[in-house]
Amino acid sequence: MAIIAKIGQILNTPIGVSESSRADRKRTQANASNPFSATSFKGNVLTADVFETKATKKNKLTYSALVGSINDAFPTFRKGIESVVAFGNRMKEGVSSVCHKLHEIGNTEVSIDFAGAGRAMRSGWDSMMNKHSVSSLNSRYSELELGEMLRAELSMDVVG
Amino acid sequence: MKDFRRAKNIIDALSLKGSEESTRMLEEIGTNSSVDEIREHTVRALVRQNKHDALSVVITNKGKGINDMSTVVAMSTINELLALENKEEAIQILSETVEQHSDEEVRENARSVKALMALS
Repeated sequence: MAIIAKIGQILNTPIGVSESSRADRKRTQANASNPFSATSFKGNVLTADVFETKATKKNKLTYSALVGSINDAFPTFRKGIESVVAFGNRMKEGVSSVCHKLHEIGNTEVSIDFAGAGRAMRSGWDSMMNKHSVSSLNSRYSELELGEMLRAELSMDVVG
Repeated sequence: MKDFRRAKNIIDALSLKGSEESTRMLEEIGTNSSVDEIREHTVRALVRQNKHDALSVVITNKGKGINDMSTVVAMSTINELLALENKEEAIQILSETVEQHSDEEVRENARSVKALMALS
């Protein structure tokens, strides 16, 4: 008789209610037994009422704010990276199209001449030094002295 | 190849003086040099002065400036004359040379350069 009464009690209880209440209980137990779930990103939604002890309340809020800020920051960060990548691709396309155009116009191989750039820099430096030397000679020596210096310079060359 | 940088700097310094004495020095030493490079640099410095005495040296003297035996020196002189901003003095000396100079070759050269300067 007792068994029959128990079966009747079970049958009278609504099935949906008992399952949901069981799931709620399980979730609560899981949260309560795992205080470190605050730092877990496995699909858990952090809420301020996960922990109930006073000592950890501040930490909970901090974690919540941190996770929220990370979630907010990631799309921006990702957008930044994407824009850098897009910029790089645009530059690459631009450079390649310029090279292509130059190749079409000149029908010659396009290359960057570092040796030429070095020579140009040296030439510029020499020119500056020559100007400095000329103004220095002009201010320090008279016509006669400069004439003698030029004569000596050229005669040295003849002897050499 | 010999480096004439110092000699060229001295020529430029003399040219900067712009005095009669400096022109005389450049004519005496620079335009009589055995080195084409030095003669070329000297005549260019003289033309850039754009003064009567300096221009006369490169236009009226046989074997100097536009009458130099070296084509490079002669062409450099002509280029420098054509590049002058104020060509008045140069054209006047060229005209006088065409009319009065005793040497036929010098007259012919002056005539050609004058025609070029008129066209430029």
